[in-house]
Amino acid sequence: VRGSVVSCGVDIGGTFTDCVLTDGEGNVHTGKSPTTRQGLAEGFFSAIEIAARKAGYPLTDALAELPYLAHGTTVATNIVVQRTGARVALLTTRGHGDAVFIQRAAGRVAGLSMDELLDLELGTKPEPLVPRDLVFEIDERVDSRGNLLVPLNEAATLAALERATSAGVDAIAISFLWGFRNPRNEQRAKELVADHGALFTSVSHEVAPNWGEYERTMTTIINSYVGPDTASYIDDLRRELDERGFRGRFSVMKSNGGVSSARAASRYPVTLLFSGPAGALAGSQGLLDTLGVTDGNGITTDMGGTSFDIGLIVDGKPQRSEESLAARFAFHLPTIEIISIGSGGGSIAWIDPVTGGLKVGPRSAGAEPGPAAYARGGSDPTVTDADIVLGYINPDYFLGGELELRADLAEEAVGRLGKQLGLSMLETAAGIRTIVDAAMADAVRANTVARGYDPRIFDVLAFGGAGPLHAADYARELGSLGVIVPKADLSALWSAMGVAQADLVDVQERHAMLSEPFAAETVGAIAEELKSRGAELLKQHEMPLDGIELTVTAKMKYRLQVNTVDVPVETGDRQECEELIDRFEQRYRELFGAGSGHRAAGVEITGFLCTAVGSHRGATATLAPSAAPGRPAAAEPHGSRSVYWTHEGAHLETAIFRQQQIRPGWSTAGPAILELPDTTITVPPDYTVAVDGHGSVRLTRQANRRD
Amino acid sequence: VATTLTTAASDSKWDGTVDGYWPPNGPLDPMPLAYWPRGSEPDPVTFEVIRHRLFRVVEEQGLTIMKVSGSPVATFAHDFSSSLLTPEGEPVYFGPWCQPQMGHLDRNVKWILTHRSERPGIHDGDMFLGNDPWIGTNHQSDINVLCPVFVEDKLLCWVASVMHVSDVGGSTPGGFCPDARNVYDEPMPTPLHTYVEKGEVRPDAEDSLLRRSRLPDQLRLDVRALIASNNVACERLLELVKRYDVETVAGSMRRIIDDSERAFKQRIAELPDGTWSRESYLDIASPGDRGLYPVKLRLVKEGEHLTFDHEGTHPQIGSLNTTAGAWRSAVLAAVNPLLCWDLMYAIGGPMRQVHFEPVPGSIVTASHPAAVSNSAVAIPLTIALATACISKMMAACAVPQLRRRAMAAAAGTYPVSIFSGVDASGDPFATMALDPMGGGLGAFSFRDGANTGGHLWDPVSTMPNVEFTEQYFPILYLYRREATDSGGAGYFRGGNSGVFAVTPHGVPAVTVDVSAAGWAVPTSEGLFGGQPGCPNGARVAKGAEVGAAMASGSVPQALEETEATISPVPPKLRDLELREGDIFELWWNAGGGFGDPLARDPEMVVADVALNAVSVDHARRVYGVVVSDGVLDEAATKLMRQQLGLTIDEPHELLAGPSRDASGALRCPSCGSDVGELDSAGETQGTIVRELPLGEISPLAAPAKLFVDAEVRFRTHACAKCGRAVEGRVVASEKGVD
Repeated sequence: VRGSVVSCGVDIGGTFTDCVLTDGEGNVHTGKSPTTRQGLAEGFFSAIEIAARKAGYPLTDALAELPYLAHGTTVATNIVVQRTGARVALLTTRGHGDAVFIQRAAGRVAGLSMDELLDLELGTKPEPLVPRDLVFEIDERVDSRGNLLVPLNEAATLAALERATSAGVDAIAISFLWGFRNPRNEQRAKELVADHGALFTSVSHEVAPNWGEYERTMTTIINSYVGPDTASYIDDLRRELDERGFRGRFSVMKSNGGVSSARAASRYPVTLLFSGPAGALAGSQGLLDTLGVTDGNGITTDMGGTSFDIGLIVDGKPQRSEESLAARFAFHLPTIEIISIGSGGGSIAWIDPVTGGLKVGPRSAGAEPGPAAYARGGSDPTVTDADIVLGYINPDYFLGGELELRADLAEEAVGRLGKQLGLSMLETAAGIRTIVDAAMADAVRANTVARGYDPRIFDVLAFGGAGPLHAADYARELGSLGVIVPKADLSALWSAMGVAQADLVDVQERHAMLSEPFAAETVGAIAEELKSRGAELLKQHEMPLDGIELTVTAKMKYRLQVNTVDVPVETGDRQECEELIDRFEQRYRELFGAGSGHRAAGVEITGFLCTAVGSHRGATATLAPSAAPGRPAAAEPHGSRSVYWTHEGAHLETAIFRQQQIRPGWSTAGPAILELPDTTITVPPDYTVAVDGHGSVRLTRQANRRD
Repeated sequence: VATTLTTAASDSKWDGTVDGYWPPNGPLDPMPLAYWPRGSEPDPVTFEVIRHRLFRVVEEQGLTIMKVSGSPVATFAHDFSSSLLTPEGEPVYFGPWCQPQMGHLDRNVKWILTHRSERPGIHDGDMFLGNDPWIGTNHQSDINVLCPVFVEDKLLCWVASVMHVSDVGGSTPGGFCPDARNVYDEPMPTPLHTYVEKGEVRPDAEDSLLRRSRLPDQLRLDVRALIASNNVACERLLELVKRYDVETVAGSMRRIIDDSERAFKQRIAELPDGTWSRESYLDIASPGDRGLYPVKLRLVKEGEHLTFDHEGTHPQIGSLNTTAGAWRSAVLAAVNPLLCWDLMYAIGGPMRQVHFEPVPGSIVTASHPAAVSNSAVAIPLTIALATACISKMMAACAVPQLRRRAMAAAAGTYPVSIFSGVDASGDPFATMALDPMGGGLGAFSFRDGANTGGHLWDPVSTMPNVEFTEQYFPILYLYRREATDSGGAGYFRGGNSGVFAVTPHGVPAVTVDVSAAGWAVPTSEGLFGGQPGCPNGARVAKGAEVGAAMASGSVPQALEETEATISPVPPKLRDLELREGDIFELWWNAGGGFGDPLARDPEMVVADVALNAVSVDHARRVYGVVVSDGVLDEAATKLMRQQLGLTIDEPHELLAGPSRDASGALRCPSCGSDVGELDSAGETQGTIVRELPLGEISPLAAPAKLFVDAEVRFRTHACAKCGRAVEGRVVASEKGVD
């Protein structure tokens, strides 16, 4: 029996390409296919085909009927990480071409973890994306107030372009000092480039109109570096979809947490970098709204094989950051903030030769050779091996039984390490798990408590292959409200789910340097202009919209301090301008502590950010209850086994539940383990578990239990 | 652990009044306060969890300073620190920030315990603030705040934070006083005193601190940031004690130190016993002076101990000095990255094995009331000297992994230059140029030093964007670039440093003050024949008419492009007036090279030329590599290298420095000849001595005679058989050397 297909999300990750296909009744069908590195399209269509088949469609019919398809891709990320991008020439202000080599000095250690910083041997700068002979310094100058001091030397620009073309460049980046304050010279250079020939061109005031020449220039360069290949990837995919009969709307996931039409995305491909985790966060944000069970505060945690990604949703909004790292280059772009540490199922446990202590990660066994239990030649004990030894993972039902695990090899590996430490196999396994859980809790703490957020008023949202397996333990360590595993049957495909659900999002930046008292005419005019431009940008995606939300925030700071705080601006009228400083000070206190503001120095606005969100039908037509209505919740467990619970420090007979038992409305008390096809959820003895109408699993800690 | 101070201590009180505070090693006996002793030994898993958390606490403590202060100095220059110490004062962790600030804190704890236990007492909720270099801080601008952490009325540990604050008075904005005759011309040092009492800032203490400052609001905020960071650390530690128990936490702290001690001992045991030393010079004691003053460091390695002394260092003079505590802290700042790179800032253990033999009254062990505010001179120089001594010891080691890590010195002096005046809106401003945070690092035994890679003493050295500085201060950058030919030449090249030029913008004039050294003599020396990185330097072009140049379509890219009179700026100068259209240019010292530049792979030199890291002329002159039209001229290169002294045209060799054979003889890295024994100064018997004027090897060096009377030359000792340099150092002629 087949209904209609209404939306589809496809997310290409490092290992798997995931597809979620939603039908007219809100049922979600999933497809998982290995990522095909040589031609990403193959895995793309194969994942759709698997999901379509489950929905009762051959691929061609599904594509022909599908009104909406959203895509998250690692193509841009891969280009930067594998350094296979375009040959780019940079046009920049004379005297400042070295900014991209100096990298504010910190480029030497950018991307190193805290425990690598002291090691001078590791501290090298990355190979530049633009070689020195393709950096062209041009006579021109604008000052900090936007005064044009030296107009663009057009002859020099043309000469540089000649040399760049004869050096065989594929793309151009233009970034001048203060180009975002007064774009005249950049605009003129862009015209000259356009007259010169059809090269992919990025201009700093368009790509990253923000203060700070190193990061702005890097954003511009990266946009050009990934530009030609990303654009042709999207074009090729679009064409193939077309050939296969797809007539719906196609959008692409961005790192700002929203989607964009393919055309707009091809123009600013830098916005596609690291969009996968952003997709997961976008999905979580929607879920918190739908569930309505929290006040909108969530810590999203995605524990995979090699890394642990943390995101924050505060008052229903994902936390943003403006600076990111790509291949160790700092660049500026408003994105959903994701913090990553090297803890995952594949993290290797080892003995520090220096101190003799037990350590876990950051080195990972990855997928190849993988944990010892994979029997692919890995002999180092990993977190997954410890989870098997302790009884959390059922070796016969990993990935729904698709991958057979060898418990004996896990035991052997863990036992061998234990012997060196003078610990039993069980103590060692429990130790590995305790250490990795504590490290993840420490990382979350560093990104909540240390930044003014109290994790005790947050839910932990867990997804990824290993997240739900560990979440209850690190949530306890944080004192969080509870754990939500969103739509548990989709947990491992959560990024694809988020991609399918994401709204259109366009973020605009506008630099300004305003000192108090703020003039209503200036602030009001900027807010007005940003909003109307935001609405226009949304229209350019040519997608039917259900609603538009335009938010403007002012970036505010105390004059002599560096920290900026985003303060919402409604209309920017006189009354609001007067209130802005109070709002800013209040927020500053919350984030940086009472008495940390230097009021006497004065308050200033350094820029504005406008977020335009367009909700569209493609994204809203999902999330039906995951079970047929009226079906009773099964209570009898699938079975039971003895599991060693690290917090209790004891083996307890533990009920095991499978997908068919955990229907909406079902609940039980821990200890329990939920073995779903793609993920395993642990419910420690001090938790209860319940399933809501959407199939999301919620774990609540019994506060009166021992802490 | 026995104190090694007995000889020096006998004629000095070392109590922090006249000579720096230098207590005996080991805990005070008796401890004046009740404290949690070693406690129970945690199991390995709990220990790892607590260890990780404790480091995170120290990290969060430091991030809080940055967050609350929000000052550019904290954010960009990273000039702050956080640290966790045992009740007795042993460091558990240094934070990953400005390393030389933290080597004082153990003594700060001891001083507080000794001097403040009875009256006013040390209570829960108290914090002690001080900036007295004789008790323990790098200079008066570095304010230390220490906070005892109590659990059930017994001391669990101390948390401490330090920050270089914007201004605490003194003759010059920013508090580096180039013309100070003694400490009375400088910001006033204050011994550690109760600043926060039972959780509240003492208003009398705060008022008397802020009264000294040109920027009292900023200072209040900076000190509040230090207090807030200690509070955060306290809170986290108490949570940890609640989660586990106090004895386990106390035991974990001590185990971290013991582990690092054991690891350090093992590492040291692999290094050969011996003595290594290095000498350099500081130039110009005060404005108008023309002297050069030797600073020496010697390392004696014996068994599991390292001992440092400074014999031969010039007596304290002018504004070049620093205190003994800062000298020790500077040495530790080199020990940490060079020998403890994998101990994750747990330096308490290694500190038990590192000893010092200070003698009062020298430039690096100045007695009160010497001027000590300019310690950005002697402290980095000590770090550079320690880098050289430790690296020479490592290079003599049989263990390849250790030998490999030997590295030449980097940025031996920070050229402090302060811009001040009145901005376009009529508000006063003062700012220190943070561009030299992009120091050139020294070359390793296996690769070139990082260009503009930062500093050894701060793992995350950062410089602000040009747009940041231009936004807040009325200056315009004509250029900021990596300085060609700045890195010391070598088999592996030292990292290049940078240069910038600015002009006043939107105001009629800006004042420049310079408090530095390392002008006439490079302070980042090479190793094993590697040449020194360029010295610091500055020039001014009066009447350069930058505005007119811009009006006609270009921004000057060299002082020589203008019609102006170009004058050198000396390293100690107050009140240089920079008028509209004038240009001030400053460059900073680069990393030293490793091994003989004449043995460098010519193709690497060609690549450097293509990247403009090395000029064609410099390639020919110091590397003997002839590059024409971007291509290597092999025949000319061979000839040139012979002319420069390389007599055997040997094939490309892997060894950058000399090695020891099985019999212990020192072998030339190229031809394998016995080059005799390097003595403690690095000079050998079986070698030929060559000398070159400094200008020959360092095109950026201003002629030394502009600043000092002495003549400065680079002397190499080359293998008598093949001519390859095996050692080299900067020497100054006796004339004029005091």
